[in-house]
Amino acid sequence: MTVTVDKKMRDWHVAQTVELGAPAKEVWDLIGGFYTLHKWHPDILKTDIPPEQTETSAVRRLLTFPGQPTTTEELIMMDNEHFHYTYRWHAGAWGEKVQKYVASLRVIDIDDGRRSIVQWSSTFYYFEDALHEFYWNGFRALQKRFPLPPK
Amino acid sequence: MLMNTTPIPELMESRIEDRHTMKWLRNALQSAITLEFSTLPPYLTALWSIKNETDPVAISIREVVQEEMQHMGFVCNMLTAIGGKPQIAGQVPEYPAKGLPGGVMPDLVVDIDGLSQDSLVTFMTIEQPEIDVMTGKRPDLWKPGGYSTIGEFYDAIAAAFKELKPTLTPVGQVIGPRTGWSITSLDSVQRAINTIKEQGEGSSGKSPVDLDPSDWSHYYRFAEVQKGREIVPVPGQKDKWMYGDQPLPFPDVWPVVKLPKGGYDRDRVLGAVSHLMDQFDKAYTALIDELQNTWTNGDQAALWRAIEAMFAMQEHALALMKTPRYDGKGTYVPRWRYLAAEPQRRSS
Repeated sequence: MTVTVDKKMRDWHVAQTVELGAPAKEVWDLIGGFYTLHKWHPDILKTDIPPEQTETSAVRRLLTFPGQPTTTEELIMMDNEHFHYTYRWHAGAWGEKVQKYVASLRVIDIDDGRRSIVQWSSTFYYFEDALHEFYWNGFRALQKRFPLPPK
Repeated sequence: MLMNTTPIPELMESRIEDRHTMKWLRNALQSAITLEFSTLPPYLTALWSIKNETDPVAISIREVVQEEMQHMGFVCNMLTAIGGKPQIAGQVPEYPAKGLPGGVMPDLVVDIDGLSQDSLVTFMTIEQPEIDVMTGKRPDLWKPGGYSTIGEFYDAIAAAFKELKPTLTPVGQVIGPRTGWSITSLDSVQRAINTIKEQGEGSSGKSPVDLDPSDWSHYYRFAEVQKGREIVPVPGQKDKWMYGDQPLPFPDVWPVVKLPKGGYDRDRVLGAVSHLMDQFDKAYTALIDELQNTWTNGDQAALWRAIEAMFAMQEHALALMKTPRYDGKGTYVPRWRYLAAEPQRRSS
């Protein structure tokens, strides 16, 4: 008997959030830069600036994952005042499978700035939610750094 | 050495005087601390602009930076020895700067720039000896009431120590490989000043070597890079030197453009670049605060934390140096802003 897995490609829009025990400004200090992903996300070994960066006005980052090909992402916009940036896949094997990837990372103050929420959202074209685990690996690391106060 | 050219009274107090007072000596030593510190931003920017960290030129400039840090340590100890309180956080230089602190070379403009022929000429001017032993030339930046070389300024400080014979206390001094020895006698003052002068401009204007016969002084290190040729002994002649045939290739550098006067246009700087600049300035502020802690509290550990901050600065600086400017003219350099000093600043 053969089991057929439904791999029908479709457009996805996913949004994950995590609540942290620190003000948005403090969280943004860590996650806000475009070259800082490796400093807080355990699945990223390093963030480099691509060699061609000096030749282009686009701001790009080269992400190295353990045992996988590198991915280049391009910044669309960064708003430091509102703790928010948006980026898209630019080059690398991953984005040839998970297509049209555009994502946003945003930090929002709650509880009069005593706590904050990080929202990581994206749109892409694939047969399943390809980002859930990756986002939560990052969120769990942030929860360890910025734990919520005991209730 | 400040971007706005308004004279700072404390720094102007160290002008040339026939007779010295303790007040003059304290002010001169404070100016010397600021002067030594003020070399770090331009030298570090030039160093980080070199793509290959292991390039011989990068190694040479890194050693210059380490020695400047030690010179600052020597002077902080001298000021502490006479009962003064070294101020690093309160006297942070801004760039581009006109003149060096203490009335040294008042017309010299110091930019934040990558390694280039222009920046090398500035660095050679900062470190210039009384006589360039390679060319026989004398410095031409003399101005009435000012010092034409850093060495001349230190000679005045040495003369003041001899004249005033102040009581020297070891309390509060920071002793170690990065800060030098304890200043407890006129002999230890003179040895420290000789070290600063010889590492900066060479052996009493007679030779390009510093205290270590295998090392060139800062001036001649920069001169070699500027000429593109290594300095070698003249064959068969004792204590004679020349630029040899051995080329010293100019290193490959990031295409940075010097920091504009007044900083970058905040409205045109991308958010990601602005974040990098802020992160750099935070790390720079941590460096300064830790250096201040080092001498305010006699805390050796703070000095090592300051050095750690320098690594964070380098990471952000490199990202800036690889990012094209909004006007298409090369890439960015750090702004070198101390955040605690003027939190109301708005421009980039």
